[in-house]
Amino acid sequence: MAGTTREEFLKTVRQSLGRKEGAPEPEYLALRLRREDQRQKVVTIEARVEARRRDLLTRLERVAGQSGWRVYRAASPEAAAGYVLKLAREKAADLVVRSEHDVFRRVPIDGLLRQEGIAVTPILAARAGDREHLRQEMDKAQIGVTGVDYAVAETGTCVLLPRRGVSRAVSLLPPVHVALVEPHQVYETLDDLFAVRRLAFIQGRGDAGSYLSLTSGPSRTADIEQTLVIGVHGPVEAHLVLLPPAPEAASPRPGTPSP
Amino acid sequence: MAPVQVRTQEFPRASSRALANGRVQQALTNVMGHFDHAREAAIQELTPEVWERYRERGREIKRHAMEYLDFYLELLSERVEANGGKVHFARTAQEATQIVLEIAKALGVKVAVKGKSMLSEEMGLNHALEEQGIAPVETDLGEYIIQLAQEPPFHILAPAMHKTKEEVGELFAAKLGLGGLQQIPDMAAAARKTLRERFLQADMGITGVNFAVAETGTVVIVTNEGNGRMCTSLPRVHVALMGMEKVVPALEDLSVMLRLLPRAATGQRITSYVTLVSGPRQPGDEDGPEEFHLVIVDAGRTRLLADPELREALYCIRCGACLNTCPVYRKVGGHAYGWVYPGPIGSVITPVMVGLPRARDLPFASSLCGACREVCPLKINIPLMLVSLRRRLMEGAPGERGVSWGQRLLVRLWSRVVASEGSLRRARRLAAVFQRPFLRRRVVRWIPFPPFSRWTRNRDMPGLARRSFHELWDRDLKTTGRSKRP
Ligand code: SF4
Repeated sequence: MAGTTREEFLKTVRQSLGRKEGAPEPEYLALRLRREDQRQKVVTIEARVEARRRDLLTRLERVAGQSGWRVYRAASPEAAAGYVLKLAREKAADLVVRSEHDVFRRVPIDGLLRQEGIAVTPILAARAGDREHLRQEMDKAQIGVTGVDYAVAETGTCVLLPRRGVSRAVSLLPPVHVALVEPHQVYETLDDLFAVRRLAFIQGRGDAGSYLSLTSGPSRTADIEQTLVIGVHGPVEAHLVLLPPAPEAASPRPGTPSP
Repeated sequence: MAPVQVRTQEFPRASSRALANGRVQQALTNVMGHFDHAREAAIQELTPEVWERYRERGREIKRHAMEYLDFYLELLSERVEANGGKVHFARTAQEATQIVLEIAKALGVKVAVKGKSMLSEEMGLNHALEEQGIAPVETDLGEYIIQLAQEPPFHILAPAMHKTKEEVGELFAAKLGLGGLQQIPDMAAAARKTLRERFLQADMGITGVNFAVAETGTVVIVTNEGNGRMCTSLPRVHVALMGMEKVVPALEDLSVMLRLLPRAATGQRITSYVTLVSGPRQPGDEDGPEEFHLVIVDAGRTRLLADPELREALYCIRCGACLNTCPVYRKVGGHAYGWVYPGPIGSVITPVMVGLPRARDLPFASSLCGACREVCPLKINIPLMLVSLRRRLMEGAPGERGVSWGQRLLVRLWSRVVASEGSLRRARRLAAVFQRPFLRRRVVRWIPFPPFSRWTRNRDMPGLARRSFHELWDRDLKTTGRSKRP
């Protein structure tokens, strides 16, 4: 194999730093926080976020709107499903793909769309067994609908953790992406998000998940004459549908601390 | 495209050509102000105080990461491998290219889609892939355009900013057979369609890396178009190329970095897409590449690391702000600099990468006004580094000197003269007489004989005032605090 061994490479780096030996683990706070401290940190974050929930939702709505999301605050899960249907009609869609997020138990879009003769494909390749076919479906579909794992008010961001049932492509290939966001998923800042993810990493014994995607609006470019064009590779339209709180205790977030 | 050529020696001529090129001047005038305004507005929205805090924090993260670079690179590579990725180390750009070619050949890759990567420009990767019969397809719209035009990037962020929409239209017609495109959105739509096919065909995705988190073994890719996400999700192998300085220690360091980069670059709070990749697809994942390779590249960076005066250059996050604000870049544009990285930061990095003697004009392509340092999100002291390089050129071995004997003589003389009040006064009086034949409307434009000719060729000097400050001081200023006649 071409290249240099790690040892050789690191030796050169060390020499450039004027050091002979490898450095001992540096004192770096963000790395030093162990499991219990990180958990405490997240508990504090959760409490703050809980206390500011209403403001955070307003802020998310405002910032997301500024970043190019079309934001819809649904009064009920049914209204949210209705929004998706209306969108599908507007786009004359005949195929909608969606992920397998929990939120679809509250927002049953499948039945509603199918009644209108619009096909809905939930992306669960493991079951279908044919990834190539699914990819083509996603490339053909006019709309992709997903839940989210987190949202960040500071930046108007929806965060997805692709995994079983959550394809990366649903929010990427179709020209329209709809993200369904539940209030308990909203955090205040990027710091909150990464603190929560770090805890998940520690609790998962070093499993960061293969992928984490932060989406803050539609695809855009200004590469020709610095003129903004929306929708170059990814979605041309990005819709953020903010749901009302679930009546019963919300389902736990992936990063929620467990004792 | 040909392998990356070093044309840094041509800076004086190339910059004159750029100055004389109306189209380039028009593009620069149209575009550069945009960037500056957007960045300023984003900072105002955040408030300059908060911005300053983020800058300090970002700088601290980078300073620390560079100081313990060996530790963090080791940690990063261990974690990436624990996630199922494969890590490669390359001391040179050629080694890095070899690594990518071997991966591609082992998998029988025919089409490779590429996200934007300045490092791959250093490597001349596209050329190397083509020679092996592999089609590299740039997918960032700007990169795609210059790939079609077979040109190097003009700007690290907006590689095709020097192209008018008419030129892009002609290019699409000539190279893609897509005639009649006049509006920019139509061109973007055409590129979407063409490139979508390539994404679905490609066996390999190649991307750069904006940040790499050592703690979690994660690489972070920042884009607005979504092409980075396509490159990392659709093909069956993903190769990420990173300069070794991209590493940050902890996941939580990302928040401040992600606040600095988009604001400094385009004035956005965050880019549309930020993608964190921590290895290949895991069992149960619906999609994602089967193989993930991380190539960590030195290619001259250890020289910066070992140099106490220049180490800061490794803090650079390639936001382009220093280019956008630089009075030299804003006039001569990106191609004149003759290598991969233009502008103020390029004038520091390039001489170290390609050799100071070959790039001797670059450290002088600056008025040392300090604007670059002012706007740099990492507060990199570019002017100081340029001065350091100038000093090396002055003091270097004769073959490495960047200045003629005449200039050296002039500088020696100058430092003698200004060292004492008496000699300064005498020299001034002499110069006031000497300048007369060369004055054109009170400006000295050119003194046509050495040792002055070279220095004055590109510089206009305001003529000396009729009365010097010394004289004014002696007459009135000293006693009255004001001068009667300015
Ligand atoms: S030197 Fe600073 S301003 Fe210039 S590109 Fe790098 S980070 Fe941006």
